[in-house]
Amino acid sequence: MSEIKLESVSSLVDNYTPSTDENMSAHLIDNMLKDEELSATWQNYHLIGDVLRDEVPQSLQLDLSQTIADAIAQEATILSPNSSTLTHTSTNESVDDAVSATKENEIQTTNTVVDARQRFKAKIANLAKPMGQVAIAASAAALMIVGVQHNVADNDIIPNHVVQTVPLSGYANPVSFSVQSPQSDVSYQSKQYTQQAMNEQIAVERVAQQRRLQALLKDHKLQVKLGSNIK
Amino acid sequence: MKLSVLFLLLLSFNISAIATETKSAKLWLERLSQSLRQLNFTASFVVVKNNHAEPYHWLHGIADNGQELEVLTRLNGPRHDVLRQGEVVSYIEPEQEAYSIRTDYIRGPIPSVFRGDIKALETSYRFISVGRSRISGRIAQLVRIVAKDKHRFSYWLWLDQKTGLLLKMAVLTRQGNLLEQIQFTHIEVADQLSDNLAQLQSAELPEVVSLAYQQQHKDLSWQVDWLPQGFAVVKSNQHNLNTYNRGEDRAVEFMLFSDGLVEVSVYVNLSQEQFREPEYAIDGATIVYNHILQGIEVGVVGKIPLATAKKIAESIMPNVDKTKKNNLPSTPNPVIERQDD
Repeated sequence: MSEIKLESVSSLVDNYTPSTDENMSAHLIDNMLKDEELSATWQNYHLIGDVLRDEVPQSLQLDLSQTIADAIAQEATILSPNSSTLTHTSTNESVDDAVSATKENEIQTTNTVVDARQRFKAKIANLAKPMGQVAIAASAAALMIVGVQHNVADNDIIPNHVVQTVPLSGYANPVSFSVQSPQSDVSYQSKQYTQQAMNEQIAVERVAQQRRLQALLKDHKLQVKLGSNIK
Repeated sequence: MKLSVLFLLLLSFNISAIATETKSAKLWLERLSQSLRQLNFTASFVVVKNNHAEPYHWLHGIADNGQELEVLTRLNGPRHDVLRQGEVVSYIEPEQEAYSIRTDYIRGPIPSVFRGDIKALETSYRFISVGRSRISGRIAQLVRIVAKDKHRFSYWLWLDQKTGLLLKMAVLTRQGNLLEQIQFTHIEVADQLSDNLAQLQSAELPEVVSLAYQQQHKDLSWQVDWLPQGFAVVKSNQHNLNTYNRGEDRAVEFMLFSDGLVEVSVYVNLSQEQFREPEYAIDGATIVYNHILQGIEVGVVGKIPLATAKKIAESIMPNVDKTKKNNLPSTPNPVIERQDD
């Protein structure tokens, strides 16, 4: 029976099922997992196969599972830091055989103190987190408001259709011009809004227009000044 | 129209009160004129139009020899100063050489008629004294200068009860839309001439521009057929419309009209183009209107409603008294010529 079993394991290692029966192979694997000897055989057969195929790593680690298990045991648990420190100290405790019961008690109490402090810290962290988020959100909102207001202020100073009147070498008579062609008989106010959209062609024409009108306004002002001395 | 105005007036005032209101308003305006001529004052004001404000500083005083001294400075941007020593007014502006003119008015944001004879306005405007309010921390009397027709704007003045000086001025349309205002932020009246003005007294102003060669009442080949009542020709001439080194200088026939409070310039010249859509710009209460109709380019500038500007521009017609029409020699603008020297 053992012979048959070993043969079956061998064929499994060689990647084909010993019998056509699906249940049979499932049963074999179950058995193999339960049976220490069969497991060892399975391991050995693989090792033999690896050696034959020259797939053995430089340093051969026969028992990987043990090292992994150790690594896990060594690693501090991240999810609950309180208990991890507790276990950590207690493992230290267990290692040290000479520690008396009283000392153990003392450590236990310090542990609880540490525990409480850490919990408090965690609580504060938990409390601070949403508050911080709210603060960030609030400051973002504030920035937005400030930004928007800034924009609005800008718009106030330089309205949409303020065209820099003919740049007469910095002669900044800050005439904010609103030039438009009267097409309909609406009031000035509404007219100012009608000419919102304009394409480049119009813009070029507008500059010329601007120049013409600016020249007129300029000359008017000059003539008014000059004219005042002749009556 | 007259009826509706009367109706409105009836609504707001007792009919018997109108006469006294007008009389009181006139007295207030006369007081303003007197104060502007005789007081030593230091003032700051802000002209608010087109959504922004231009601050000014204004000094006025009487020297020991009775000479009026005045300084008007624009505080933002390039320097725009107006200095006055009695009958000589100097304009110091960034884009041209300083020049002086022989006159007794400073041309600034405040209409010069306020320091002159207010009766000149009576044909086109009526005066109404309205009530009191608080302006610039002082008690102010509101006086309205209301246009008698729809062809011009109305002016509201708030006058200081103590000194009679201007505290606030607003230019409004007939519908009551605010176009432009001047708000005083500071007024100080002193007995003594301020130091700045004492300095001005001894300062040497730029040379007075001689306008002798400029014919100010030239017969032009074009004339304006329609003007709102009360407007009269101040001067008419031909000069180059300077567009500042853009090679687009053009000779224009120019007429300046005034109804006492506002000036309207009319420019006429022949154009290569046959037609151009009317175009205009608004600077506070000032409109700049331009169009080409049948090869004639007409520009109208002044503190008047668009409809008025349009009507004036459309009323341009050849001067029937004038036989010669084309290729008139143009006299260059005196100030511009000085610049070329």
